[in-house]
Formats: sequence, C-alpha cells, structure tokens
Amino acid sequence: MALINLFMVFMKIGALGFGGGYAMIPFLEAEAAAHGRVLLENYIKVIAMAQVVPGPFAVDSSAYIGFEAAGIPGALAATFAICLPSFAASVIISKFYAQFKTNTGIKALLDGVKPAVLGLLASAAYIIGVKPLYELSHSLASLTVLKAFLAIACGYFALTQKRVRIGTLAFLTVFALVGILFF
Amino acid sequence: MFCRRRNFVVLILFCYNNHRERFEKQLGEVAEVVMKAMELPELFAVFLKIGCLAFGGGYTVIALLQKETVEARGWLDNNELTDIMAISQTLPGIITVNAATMIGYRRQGLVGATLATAASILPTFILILVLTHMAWGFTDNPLVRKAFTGILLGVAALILNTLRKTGKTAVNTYADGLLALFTTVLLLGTGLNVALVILLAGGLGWVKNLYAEKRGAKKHGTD
Repeated sequence: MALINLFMVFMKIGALGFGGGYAMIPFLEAEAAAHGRVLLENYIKVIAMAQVVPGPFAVDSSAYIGFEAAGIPGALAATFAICLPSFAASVIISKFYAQFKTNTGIKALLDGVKPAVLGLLASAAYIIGVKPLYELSHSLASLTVLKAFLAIACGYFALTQKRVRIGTLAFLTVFALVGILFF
Repeated sequence: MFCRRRNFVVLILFCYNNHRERFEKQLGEVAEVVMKAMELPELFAVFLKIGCLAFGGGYTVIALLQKETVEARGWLDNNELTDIMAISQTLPGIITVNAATMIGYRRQGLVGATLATAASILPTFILILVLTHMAWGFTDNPLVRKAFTGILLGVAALILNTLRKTGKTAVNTYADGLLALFTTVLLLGTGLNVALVILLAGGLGWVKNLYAEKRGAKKHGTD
C-alpha cells in the first residue's frame, strides 16, 4: 500500500515537474514534509549532498525519500515513478516529432507553463536558503537570516559576472567555508 | 575421398554462384542486425559514463552529450542535439532522462530508450543511497552542519541564477511576468498544494497563449 502511494505521488511529481531539477524542490519538500518532520530536515541535508553526486538531482531526491519511506523497493518505486511520465512523453514525441513541432495547442501549453516555473524556482530558493534558518530563529529580521540573505546575494552577484566563469563545485566549496566561518 | 570432397566444394560454389545475390543480401541483413544489437551495450555504456560525470546540472549534460554522441560516435548531429535539448527542457520531468530517452529511441527504439534512461540515472541512484547511508552519523558534527548550511545558501544562489536565465526565455509579455509573480506569491504566501498551484498557473498560461494565438491568426487573416 505504501509502495503504491509512493508510486502515485512520485508519478504526479514527474508529470508536473516542469523546469527541471531545482524546480521540483517545492514538490519534493512537500512530499518529504508529509512523511514527518525528521525526514524533512534530513531531506534538506540530502539536497546539499546531492550537489557532490553526479547525475540528475531529482533522482537523488526520489531515491532518498523512497528509501526512507519503504526501503530499497521504495527507492526503486519512487525513482521509476518520477521518470515514467517524461519517459513516456519523450517516446511519444520522438514518434510524432513532425506533428508535435507544428501543433499550436501543445506549444501554447508548454510555453504557458514557463512563467509558473519561475515561481517554483523562487519557492525552491526560499526553501533551500532561508526557510531552515528562519525556522531556527522564527523571525525574518534575525541576524542569521540577514547573514543568509547577504551570502545568497553575494553568491548570486558572483554568478552573474560575465567575465569569470565559476565551476559549481568550486563555488559550493567556498560556500561551505562561508558556512563554517560565519554561521 | 579427395575427389568426393572436391565435388562437394564445387557443388557449394555452384549453389553460391546461382544464388549469389540472395546469399549476399541475407548475409548483409544478418550483419546489420548483429551490428545494431552490438550498439546496445555501447548505448548503455555511453549513458552510464554521462551519468557518472554529470556534476552540476544541465549544462554539463549538454557538453557531455555533445562530446559522446555527436563528436565521438556521430549518432546525431549538432542541430538534432540542440532540438532534443530544447524539447527536453520544455517537457515536464528530469531533463537528462528526457534527452537520454529521445537519443536512445532514435538509435534503438524502445529498448534503446529504456537502456539509455536506466544507465543515465543508475550511478546517481546507487551513489546517493550509499552516501546517505555512510555519511549520516557524520552530519551531526557541528562543523559539518555549518558547512551544510553554507552549501545550501550556495545552492540558493545557483537556483536564483537559474531563475534569471529561465526568466529571459519564459517572460516575454507583462502577462507572463504577472503569472510568474502570481505563482510565486501563491507558493510562498499560502499553504496551497504545489500541484494545484502549478495546474492553475499552467492552465492560465495555456489559455492566455491560445487566446493570443487566435487573435494573432485573426489579425494575420485581415492583413
């Protein structure tokens, strides 16, 4: 029963998860939260760990949440389920590529959902960066939260510089040091 | 004895000569099937390699696919890859999985699509389970905890950067901007179910685009 439930939930996330890995965070966080507070806190840690694991971030998440909910079968079910909708869609599109390219209804749908992806990403940034610290101090004006805002702003500024290209791993190593020194 | 054997050889040569075209065609077909089947392990290996090397998200995957499938093997050309990546990003779901499915399907049909997809996620699946299993005690260490806090802030900055890049292509009109803002407010400000919010915002976007399309077509018609 737990497996079927897991399967359905992750299939839903796979079907609605427009915009790739990071945009799935709000869905996955809600799912982790539904399984209890401890899992939610641990899941946030898994998001940090996933940065040093190669491969799609959503798979890290589905494997971990699935495993915590129902062991190895759970991990397999959740991962299979999250991949299934887009697998099916990709196969269908490969088959009917010509019709797909000229269908205005599908194009309107796929373009229409793009602005909503921005909302998902904004929500993901909040969940990852600010929410854990906010829940420690229960105030948006506390020193830790302000420091967090400052750190995120500096990081964002560094990433938007066109002249220097920063590798993700180097960038996150610097942030790990920032965490150790200032938090 | 010798004579008989020679007769046998002559007979075979005779048969071969008479049905030469058919033989060669069949041989060619067999070779084709074998060659095609030989590609399956290679397809698996290539996507396994990509799964092992894809640190840091989508852009790394595009570079790896370009190197492994276009340059090294000629499975598709750069234009096709660009097309596939564009579709992969607009479809729901995992971008790497979408791309792996489409390339695998193009080469080897449904079997290829399944193999490529499984290979591309297998390393991640195993590594994260091993890592969370091994490193769990270690995350209670205060120093590690602080490092994690820092890393998550870094990830938040990375997400904002993704948001900026996505925004460039996603927002073309005021209505798009308003829709993005609407979704953000609903997600951050209310406890509404995420799926519901996306269905609502996506539906609105869809209707808006259909309407704009219709009006554009009408305008075009009167010109």
